[in-house]
Amino acid sequence: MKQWLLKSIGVGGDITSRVDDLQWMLARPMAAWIGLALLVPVTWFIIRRHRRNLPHVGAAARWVLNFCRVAVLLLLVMVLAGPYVRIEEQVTRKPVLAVLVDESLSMTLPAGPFEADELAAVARASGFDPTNADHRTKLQSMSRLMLVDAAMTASREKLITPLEERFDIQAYRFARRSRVTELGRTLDAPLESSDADESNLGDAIGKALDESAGRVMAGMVVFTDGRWTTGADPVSHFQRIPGMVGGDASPAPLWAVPVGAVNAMADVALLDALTPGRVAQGDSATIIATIDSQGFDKRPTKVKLLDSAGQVLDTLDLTLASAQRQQAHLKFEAVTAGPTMLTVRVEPLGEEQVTANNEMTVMIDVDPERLRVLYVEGWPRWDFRFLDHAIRRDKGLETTIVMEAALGDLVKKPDDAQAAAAQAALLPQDAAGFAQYKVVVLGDVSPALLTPRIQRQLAMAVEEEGLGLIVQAGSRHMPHRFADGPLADILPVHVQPPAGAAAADVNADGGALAPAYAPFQMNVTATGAIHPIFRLYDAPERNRQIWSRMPTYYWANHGGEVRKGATLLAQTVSRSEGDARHPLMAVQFAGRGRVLYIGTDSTYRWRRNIGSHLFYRFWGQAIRFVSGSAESRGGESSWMEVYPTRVEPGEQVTIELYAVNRDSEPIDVPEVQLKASGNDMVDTVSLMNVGQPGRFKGMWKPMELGQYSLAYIDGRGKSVTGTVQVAGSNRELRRPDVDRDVLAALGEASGGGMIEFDQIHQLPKLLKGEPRTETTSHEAEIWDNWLVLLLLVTLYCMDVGVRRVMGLN
Amino acid sequence: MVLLCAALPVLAQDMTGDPLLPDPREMTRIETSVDRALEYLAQQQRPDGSWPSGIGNNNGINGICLLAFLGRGHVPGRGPYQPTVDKAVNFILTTQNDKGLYRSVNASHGPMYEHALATLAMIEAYGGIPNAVMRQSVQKAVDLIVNSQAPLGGWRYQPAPNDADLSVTVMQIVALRAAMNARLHVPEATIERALRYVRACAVPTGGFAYQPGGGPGEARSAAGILSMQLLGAFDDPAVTNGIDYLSKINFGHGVGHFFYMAYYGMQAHFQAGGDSWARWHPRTRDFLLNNQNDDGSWPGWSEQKFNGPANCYSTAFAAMSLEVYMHYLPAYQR
Repeated sequence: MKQWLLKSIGVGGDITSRVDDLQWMLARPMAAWIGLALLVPVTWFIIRRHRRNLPHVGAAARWVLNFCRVAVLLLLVMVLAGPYVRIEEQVTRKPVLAVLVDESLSMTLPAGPFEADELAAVARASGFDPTNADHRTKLQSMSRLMLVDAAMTASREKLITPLEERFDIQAYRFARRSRVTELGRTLDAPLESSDADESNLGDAIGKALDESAGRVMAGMVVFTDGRWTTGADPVSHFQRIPGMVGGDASPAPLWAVPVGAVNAMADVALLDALTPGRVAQGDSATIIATIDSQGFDKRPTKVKLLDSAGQVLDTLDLTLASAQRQQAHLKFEAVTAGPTMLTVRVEPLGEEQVTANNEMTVMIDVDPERLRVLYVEGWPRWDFRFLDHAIRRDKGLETTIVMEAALGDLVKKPDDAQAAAAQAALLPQDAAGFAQYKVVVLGDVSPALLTPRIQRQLAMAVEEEGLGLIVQAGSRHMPHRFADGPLADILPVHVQPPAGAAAADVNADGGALAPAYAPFQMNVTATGAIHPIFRLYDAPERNRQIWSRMPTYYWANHGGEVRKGATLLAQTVSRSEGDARHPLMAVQFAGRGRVLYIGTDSTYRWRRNIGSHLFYRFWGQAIRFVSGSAESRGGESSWMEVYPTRVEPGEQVTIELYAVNRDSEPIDVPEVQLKASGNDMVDTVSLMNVGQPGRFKGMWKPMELGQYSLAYIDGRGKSVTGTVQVAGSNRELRRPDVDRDVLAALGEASGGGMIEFDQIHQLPKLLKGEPRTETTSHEAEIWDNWLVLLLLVTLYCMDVGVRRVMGLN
Repeated sequence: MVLLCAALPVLAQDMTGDPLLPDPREMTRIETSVDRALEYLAQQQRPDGSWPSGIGNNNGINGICLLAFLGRGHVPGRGPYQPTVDKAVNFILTTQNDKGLYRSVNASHGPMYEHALATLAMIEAYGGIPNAVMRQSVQKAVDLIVNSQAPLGGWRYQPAPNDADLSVTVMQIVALRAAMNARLHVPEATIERALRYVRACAVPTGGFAYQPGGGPGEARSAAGILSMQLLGAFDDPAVTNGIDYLSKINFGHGVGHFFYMAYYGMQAHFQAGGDSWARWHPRTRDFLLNNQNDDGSWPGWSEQKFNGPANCYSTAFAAMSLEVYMHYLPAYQR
């Protein structure tokens, strides 16, 4: 009855079942007392009046009328008094325990091979009989994920039930994305391959933390093989909470449970295949394959390079060295122009359980023609010496070099005066001369060589002929001594002239000390990480990690702000200035040509410990990216550029569009839309104007594997298109062994630790926190509900009904 | 907490570990070792910018000490060792005479050894000092080398075109290669004659001799291989035979001119790449890392006479040997 009444007056059903004490209260008791006091004479008055005015009505009917009037008034008095009910209840609150189970592709690998003792312990933990030969065999070949499920089922009484009594368990399974599940329940639906081919542990931890926000968290238990291949660094979730790293105060200590044998399985893995990205047709390229192996020491194998038809292009014999990285250099002869897919394969050995990590597919763009490049440098600084060497070896480039410092020397030697004149003549004097090249690279050149007239001609070639321009800063001239010239107008950053003493300190060579930042680290922006210039891998996070890990730099030009419409690729981060950030690299369109600004002269520092691979990958890609022509970026027709053209699911694609109307004029609207189609879907992508008529830029993020087409129809009805291939990363199976070191360090960083699989029954002891019982009170108004309204209407109807039946007015 | 502090860098390295890069733990050991060596050398530098040696004030020692800093990426005018590097460059600059020779206050056998090492260091330093004085200085130094080439194609102790031996010749070749990288004027004929001379010193059974017709030696074989590689003769049989010869030596400080051999051996095998490099560099690396003194220097062993009061000669050569991993010096780019 009590529960019915509470429900009737609108108190929530979940509360009514836990009610321990009820108190009926009045908000305004004085109003009740006064109302009741007044109701006594009013009742007397009503009875007397009915008796006097309705003598012809029977006593029973008259008493009914009296009752109705008095009851209505009583109800009104009670409403005025504001009656409510106070409910007190006992609530038991459990701390949250998040249990995360890795269900990525690597968890489908065999959990073994276990040593005898390890096998017996794991068998006991997962409900198998260690003395049973069939069980032992089954365990050795059972997948890691199935082993987790078996252990959950077997340990329901000893593990899950005690945990459920103490904690509110939030269970998740994670791969590329996380999904909520129940602890101990095997999910029927297998993951799509595009979801299973990555482990995003950082995202899973973030989701668990977000969903338990505001509640006490006992911790997290993660069942995994220790490899996370995408997303944020899991440690960052613990670092961003003040006082959490490694401290006992951590509200969410993480206990990592490695799933799989301690001993690495015998395996050969192709860790990486590094290509030059682009080569010229007729040129040869070296593909560097990095191989890691376990358990096959001194065994011979072959490393092969195959084309898309499976034809072997090169083969190398390799003697494996266990637990060591080895490199094999394979030769590729670029015969056919266009994008070329190549497969690097390490021949599997018979005992290998995982062969999916023995090969890797890479893409090389074969350019049909060599790019003509003009490299004008002031003096042979280290960047020049390395770049000069590298571009001379790049057979896709036909480079002309003008060295300003050498001109003076040659002139002083009478026998070489002719050579000096010849070299000086290499610097074009007009826009047409510059337009003979696809790219011009300007180093620390002086205004004496690059006069305002030549700057104007160069800018004209960029804006009207689509010439690509790379400007690399230098300490003497570039770009601070060009601050007021035509060159500065086309750069993607505002140029700062030398100030103060530096401005007056123009030395004998005409150089002035540049305003500079130092020391600093380079931070590649999110846009830079997916930009073709910085691209090493399909995964943007991996690109950022590589480039942001470079050594300290000691010089960068004090460039101004980035211009509107330009893309910032990298920034300086100066610890001495409180992590202040300034533009370091930026790119923009200037008319039809692209201009890239590099604010430091120290890209040679990328050679540290690795040589030219990163250094020239950057420069080679930068030269190719800015190269262009009036034909490909005409001003009278629309064109589109899409990059990168090969991405992983969930990675951003940048689209740049130049759009014209029916009169072939650049359209002047704030936004345009284009269609992305493929893989049985059509998507609409919005591109925003970048501040110049006709120029638009936007991002698109494909989520599923497949080939996609991006199309825009301009005002003349002509379609411009671009294509994007979305491919899996194949990182999941690259290193099949369980990484206990990383898991132990992650656990320690969170204030938790690592616990071996056969010790998971110890978890209840390790996890801190107990259910807490709290008393909470709720209040509910009694009068503001349908029951009171029904009573009022009933009394009113009864009064009116009796009067009608009796023929009264 | 202490354990955690120790674990976090390892964790960070593992998570950012990339097959593209060498083992980060190994590189950390190497970089730490080189940094300790440079700290030692910085402390030993005299106020005038030179370094002490068993020979006295010698530009050969000053040159390799300067190269040790440059090889770690500490260029003039910048970074934590800016005063050390700038003082060293200025000192060597002041020793140059009218003929272009970086003249040692105390020469060893003759000035051309020291001149070549100082020229190499100054050409590399010129990459960070963009002025006419520096350019004229290094061009004059290179001109002196060019003009001192003997008719046979090699060089000897004195700055005159009379005689030749491989030991002096190799150092001139490395300096000329650096000059070409820096777009200084080096006649092609000089390079061609030098290559002919080095080839003439090759021993048919493997290795290189002090002079044509002699027997092979470990240190000069390493230097001979490197000079042929720097002159572009990577596939010459003399290089292959030389690498094979070196693979059979009993590596250790008992080898004659050990530090000279270790340095040129590392550079030569790096240039050769592949299995040659894979087999050679761990031997040199482990030997040097295991024998570094607590103060960051290396003992001189049989070459202690070059060290004198401080271990600058051995320390600079050992640091340069380990700096091969860092790929900073333009002269040695592959």
